[in-house]
Amino acid sequence: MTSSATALPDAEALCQQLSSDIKQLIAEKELKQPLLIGIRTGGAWLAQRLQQSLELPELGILDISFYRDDFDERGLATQAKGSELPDSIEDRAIILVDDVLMSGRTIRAAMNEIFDYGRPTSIHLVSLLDIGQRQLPIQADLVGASITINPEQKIKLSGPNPLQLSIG
Amino acid sequence: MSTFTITRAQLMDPSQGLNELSDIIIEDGVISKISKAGSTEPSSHQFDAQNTLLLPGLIDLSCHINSIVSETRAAARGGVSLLCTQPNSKPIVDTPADVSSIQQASDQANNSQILPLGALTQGLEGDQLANMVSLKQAGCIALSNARAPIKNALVLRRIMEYAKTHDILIMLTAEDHDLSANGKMHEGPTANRLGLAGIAEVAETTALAQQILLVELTGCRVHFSQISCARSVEMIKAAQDKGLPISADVAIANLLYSDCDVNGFDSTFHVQPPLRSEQDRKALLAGINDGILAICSNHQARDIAAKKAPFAAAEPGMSTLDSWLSMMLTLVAKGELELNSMINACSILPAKILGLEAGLKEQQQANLVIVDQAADVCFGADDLASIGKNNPVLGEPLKGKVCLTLSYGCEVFRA
Amino acid sequence: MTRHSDPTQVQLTADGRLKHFLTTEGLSKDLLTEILDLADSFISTQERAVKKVPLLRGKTVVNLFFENSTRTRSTFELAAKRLSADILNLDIARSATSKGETLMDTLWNLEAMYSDMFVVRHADSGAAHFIAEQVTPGVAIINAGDGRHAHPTQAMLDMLTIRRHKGTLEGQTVAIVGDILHSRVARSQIHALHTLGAKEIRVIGPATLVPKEMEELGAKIYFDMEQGLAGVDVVIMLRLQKERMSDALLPSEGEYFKLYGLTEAKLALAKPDAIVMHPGPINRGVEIDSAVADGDQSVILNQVSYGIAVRMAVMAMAMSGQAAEQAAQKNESQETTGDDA
Repeated sequence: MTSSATALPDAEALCQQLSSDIKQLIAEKELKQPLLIGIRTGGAWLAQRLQQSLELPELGILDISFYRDDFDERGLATQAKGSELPDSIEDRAIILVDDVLMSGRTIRAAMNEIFDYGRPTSIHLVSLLDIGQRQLPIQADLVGASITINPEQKIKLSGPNPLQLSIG
Repeated sequence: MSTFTITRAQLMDPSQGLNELSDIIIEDGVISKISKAGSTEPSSHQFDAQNTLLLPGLIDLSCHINSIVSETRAAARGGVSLLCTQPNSKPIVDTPADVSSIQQASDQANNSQILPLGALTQGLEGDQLANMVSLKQAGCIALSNARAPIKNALVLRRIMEYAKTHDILIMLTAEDHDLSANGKMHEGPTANRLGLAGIAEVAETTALAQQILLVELTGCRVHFSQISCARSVEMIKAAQDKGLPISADVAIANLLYSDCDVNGFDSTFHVQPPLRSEQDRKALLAGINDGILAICSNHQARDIAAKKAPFAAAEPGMSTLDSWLSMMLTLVAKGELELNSMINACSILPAKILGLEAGLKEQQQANLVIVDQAADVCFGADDLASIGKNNPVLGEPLKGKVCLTLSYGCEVFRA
Repeated sequence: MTRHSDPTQVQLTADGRLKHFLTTEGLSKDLLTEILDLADSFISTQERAVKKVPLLRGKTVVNLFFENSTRTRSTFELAAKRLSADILNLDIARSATSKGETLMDTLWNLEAMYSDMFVVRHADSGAAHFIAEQVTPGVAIINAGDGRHAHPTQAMLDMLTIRRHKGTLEGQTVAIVGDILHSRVARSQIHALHTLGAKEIRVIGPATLVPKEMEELGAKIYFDMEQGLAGVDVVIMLRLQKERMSDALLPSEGEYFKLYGLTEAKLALAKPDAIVMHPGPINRGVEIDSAVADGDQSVILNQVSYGIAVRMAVMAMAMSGQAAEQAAQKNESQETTGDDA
């Protein structure tokens, strides 16, 4: 009942804010050859936007279906489309993008998959929302907003145009 | 003197055109009196058969039996008074000693009585004649080679000539074993889809044509066991019309099922002869309704391991004795089989083929069955007296519950 | 009693997901397409530095081959390994069953080792289906060829090959040439082609090797190869076994090649961009001329590489269906206990 009352931030505004934060991050940390990698599906939309506004030449899409740890509970995701990464990610500074950071399990799976493609110099994590409820020791470097919701509730990002957050 | 009275039974015997409410008195195993219902004095030993049918006991022209006690009990349960057992048992029935050991075991079991069939050829190997006359004298009602091949047409001709000389009834299966080689089911769309090697219709019909021509030559009395094709029915009828001394039967499986039932690779439906097309099934039913063909159980009990294998690797055969009469009455209930034709095909005609007393008449041995035609029955594996649970009707709703079976005057089954 | 258990349905969960892969027959277009799409994504993981994905980590796959086939067995082995499963190869053809152990005994023994998947090849049609019906719930069965009945993974890799070279299966005219009678591959291809929207399926060969009932599966029969190849988009050649001559099905390899061997001249009758396929191993000079087998239109080697991806896809999907079904049943039984308490 309280779910509808929870106010959600505007995704488009968060996206713009993240874009400038990332610009700053790249400058501060002197990241060489930064590569945005979005996690399917929401993270990929977000990464696409960020790539455009940051005017970066490339974009990686990660499909973590083959790396999930809940195969025995749920089986394979029906929409496993595969990942699309540049030929080599060796020595790249990766900026991993996801829509909602919760348990941390998606990020664990994504990092495992990234390392199956090669050895990046670094990985930074960017997330539109952080809703807590972490089960693994994973933290984002940049977050659009942090909010608290009931454990039964789920947040969904719809897109790609416009990006919109909803709760259910 | 022991007296047993059956009252108020609907007695049906198409051989005499009987279909009326009757009382029957059986004295020392012989039917002493058949009279209108209500005309009999109450007796201490009587069976009230109200609302049930009383039929001449079933005579099975072909079944395969190894365990005599359990399988004759299954026969009794299925309404069978007399059953002809194929000689391909262990040991093969090709000597008088084998015949008498079966007869003894049958007497001791005190269920439906066995009429043993002897082997036509030694060891059923198809090349040397068995001691046919000795087997007949030992009590074989007829001789058969089960489904084992006869080596060639010359041996078959000799068999027929020798049998004719001594007036021996022989039972043959029509199968060209070269044409049916490695086949596992009827050759047709289902076999092609399932990738199972097919047994073409011509494997039966070419052999049947040859056998009929040899009957014409030798004049031997021949009964064709388990025909399966529409074309065979035509050929049998044509030969009978010509006056040849031949008869034929159909296995109950071929009347209930068609090759489509093999879909799903269910090894229960792996039988010989194979289940043919729906068109064949209809023609076989028509042959029975026309009074041309008899019906046999072709019962073959298989243990679980023999059937628990991929279709082709599973042993052929179907366990049918327990449910035989219910299977037939289900076909009657569906309107596919006429009741009179059914009685003719499973009792009157077999009796005539074997040279036994047919139907229900005074002064005859009491071979009879009382059945509740309208009752719904459903067999579970534990209900079967047969050791073979390879029965396709387990769990299926059927019509017709056997109430009482007499074999040579002995009560062998009562529900 | 569960009679008439339809093999096409045994392989699906209650909600229509694949849990065994026994035959292409009766599977929906969506499901076949899902297999092809997933195989496409596995082709991309094959191009990485680390070719493995951890999808079936901790699962045990048993290659249960009652018939020898090193090639097929190796592709399944590689597929299982690239999904991070543990794989056990059992060459039953030479061991257990020859000592009188039944198929059931073998199965029970293997189940006692806590296997999660059996990849089965057997000489009897329906063997994989039989095993799928007998096996403990939760164990997936993949048919790697049963008698003349089905070889669904081969058929799906052929579909993937056509789709990758022609863009789509819709509207294609496909000719399958040779020993159709004994071919489990042909049967599985015909069902898959039909479902995936091929325009016309032709089977070409002499009457001894082409059953007339093939028409009921939706194939058009040609006894004349020139007529059969006219205007086709895809030519699939089948392997001819040596036994066919001794079984009196054919006079000689020479006469067979003359009539049904694929030469450049005969291939010229097909569309100019037609592709040539063969499930392998090839009998050069018997069913196909070397010039064609090694020619520009041949995609025979591509078939081999797609084979691993397709097998990864069906293994992942079947294991996934089993996992989902087991999880659903567990939840159900928990709910029931909850109600009781």
